[in-house]
Amino acid sequence: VTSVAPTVVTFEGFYAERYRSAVRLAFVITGDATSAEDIAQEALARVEPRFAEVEAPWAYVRTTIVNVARTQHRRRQGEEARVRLATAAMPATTDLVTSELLDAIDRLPFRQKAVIVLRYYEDLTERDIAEVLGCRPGTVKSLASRALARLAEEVER
Amino acid sequence: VTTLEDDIRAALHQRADLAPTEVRPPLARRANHRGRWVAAAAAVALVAGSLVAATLARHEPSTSVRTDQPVQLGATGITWRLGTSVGPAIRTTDAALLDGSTYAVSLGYDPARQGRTLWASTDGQWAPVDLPDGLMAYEAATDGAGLYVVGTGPATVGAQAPVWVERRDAGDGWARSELPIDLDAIAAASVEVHPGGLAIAAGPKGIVAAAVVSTWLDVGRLLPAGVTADGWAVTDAGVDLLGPGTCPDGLRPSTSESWLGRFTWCEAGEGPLTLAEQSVVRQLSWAELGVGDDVRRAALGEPFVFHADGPGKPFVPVDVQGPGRINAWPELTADEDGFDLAYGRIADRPDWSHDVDAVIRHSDDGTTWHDAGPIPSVVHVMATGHLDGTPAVIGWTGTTPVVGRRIDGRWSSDSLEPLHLDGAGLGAAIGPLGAAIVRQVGTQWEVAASRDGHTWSVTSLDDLVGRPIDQVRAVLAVGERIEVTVLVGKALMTVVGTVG
Repeated sequence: VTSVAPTVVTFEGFYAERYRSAVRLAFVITGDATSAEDIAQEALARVEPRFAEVEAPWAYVRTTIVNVARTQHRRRQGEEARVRLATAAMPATTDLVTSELLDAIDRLPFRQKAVIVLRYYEDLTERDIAEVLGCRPGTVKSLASRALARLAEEVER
Repeated sequence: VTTLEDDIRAALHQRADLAPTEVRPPLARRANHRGRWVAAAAAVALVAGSLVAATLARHEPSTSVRTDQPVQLGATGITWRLGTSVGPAIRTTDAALLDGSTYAVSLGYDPARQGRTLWASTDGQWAPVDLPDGLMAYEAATDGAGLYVVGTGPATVGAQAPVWVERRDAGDGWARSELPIDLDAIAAASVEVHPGGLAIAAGPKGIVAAAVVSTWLDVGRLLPAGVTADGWAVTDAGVDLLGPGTCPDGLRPSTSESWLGRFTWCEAGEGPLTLAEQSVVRQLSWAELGVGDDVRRAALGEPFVFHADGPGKPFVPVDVQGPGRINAWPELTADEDGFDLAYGRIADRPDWSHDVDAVIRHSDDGTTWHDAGPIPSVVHVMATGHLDGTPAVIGWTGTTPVVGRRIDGRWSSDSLEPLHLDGAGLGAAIGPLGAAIVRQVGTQWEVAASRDGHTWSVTSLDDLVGRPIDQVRAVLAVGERIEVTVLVGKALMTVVGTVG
């Protein structure tokens, strides 16, 4: 009998494999370690009941991370200054260019920030980003263009 | 010279390197939310004058005993070796033994076979089994005479994907039986519909199948003509319509909608967000909303359960007396005493905190069900089966695995905390040989095994394979063997545990 190796994963395996990636993505978007872990767990927990029927579970988790982060962003705008201070205090952000850029990215409107993170951290195409954000690819192009212009302006200051 | 885009990329990856990297066990965060929920519920009650909080279901307290019988490390007689055939990557406990062959379903999309796959193994050699066209299998079961597979089919224009059971006798073809869920009605009343979480068990008392239909009720579309509302809360009885949200001076109201309802929050330039005070202005029953029982059940996240008297008999809906939104897939077992249905429940709060527990429903005949739990301390059921002839589960408390047993109709649990079996990537299975729990410690994977649930032996999977394991894909316990499927680089391998 010839056996065939299927390309499937269990939720447990998926969780172990993707947890760190989920936390990193959430952290890149929020800049807050505690909230990043919560968001990652929330996203992974939401995919669990439907894990078997989701053909691309990581895409599902990625979209959920962005959505939950967006909700928290709205709720926590007032805490952003504290978050930025905490992030800036971390040792590896002493590089001034990096620190300045991250601060500028954090100041972007959420959708522009999400586009920047999904494009330059997750390396997604405009079409994939549009799917995550629930908008048209043209909107992504416009958001990216505005975000880059604003970042260029802020970094030059 | 770097471009702005290069700098952005570098900055984001540098931030990612600072992210926490410890993998926490699934659901640990949810368990930790219990304390937060109490505070949040109190806050909701205060700001909303108990109006919203009172509409949300609470779980009943645990009444079972916790035995805390001693567990220990010791010789179990189970020895481990590398397998000769790569098995399917199977979700735990989804296996059936019929005529000397083990059947199990790969719960994932296999591009080579255009869907999920039913696998069969004889003497440890795995091979795929042809399924009826269109069936996306979830789980297999046997009553000793026939093989049952439950799954969903493809959606067609204007209709949701059906859910059905296929039965095959030795040498016969497949015979189809529908699970009567009104998916089209659910879809018509919802923002989204996802049938799934299917489970099946067969035994002397017939066949029981369970399904979860995840949905998000489109309340705005269901409101009677002329009725509008500023917000709403989905309740056991229907929908409570809420008045406008009132925020204290200086706070700005904003609306957020989920499957729990549409609520108003109070936002400030600084400080935490709080739920606004909203009065219940009208209560609409499910009947007034014009939805039937299947829509109600889906909206509340309750399991759909069906019983068939025997082969070829129709599946009839049964009430398992189990309110509560399902948090993890149901696990079904059958034996001469009837059926056990185990599942984790979650009570979401409008502020996104949770309350979780795990419950067991039992039926002597498959038609009349009663509460047989909850299992003390367990918030997530990882595996179900029998240990030493006693119905048993491997559960998770949020910090450690436990062994639960049903003795004289009551569930008790023994913590495995003394064995330090916590960790990440937990998976478990229970079969005739015993129980197995797989976990990751740092970068290493281990399997703990026990014949009786009291004495456990721990074996390094990395040492057995001889190379670092990247993932454990599945834990399967059926017949007189336990199989662990692991991924090493791009290669799948199996590690097999047997006695003697």
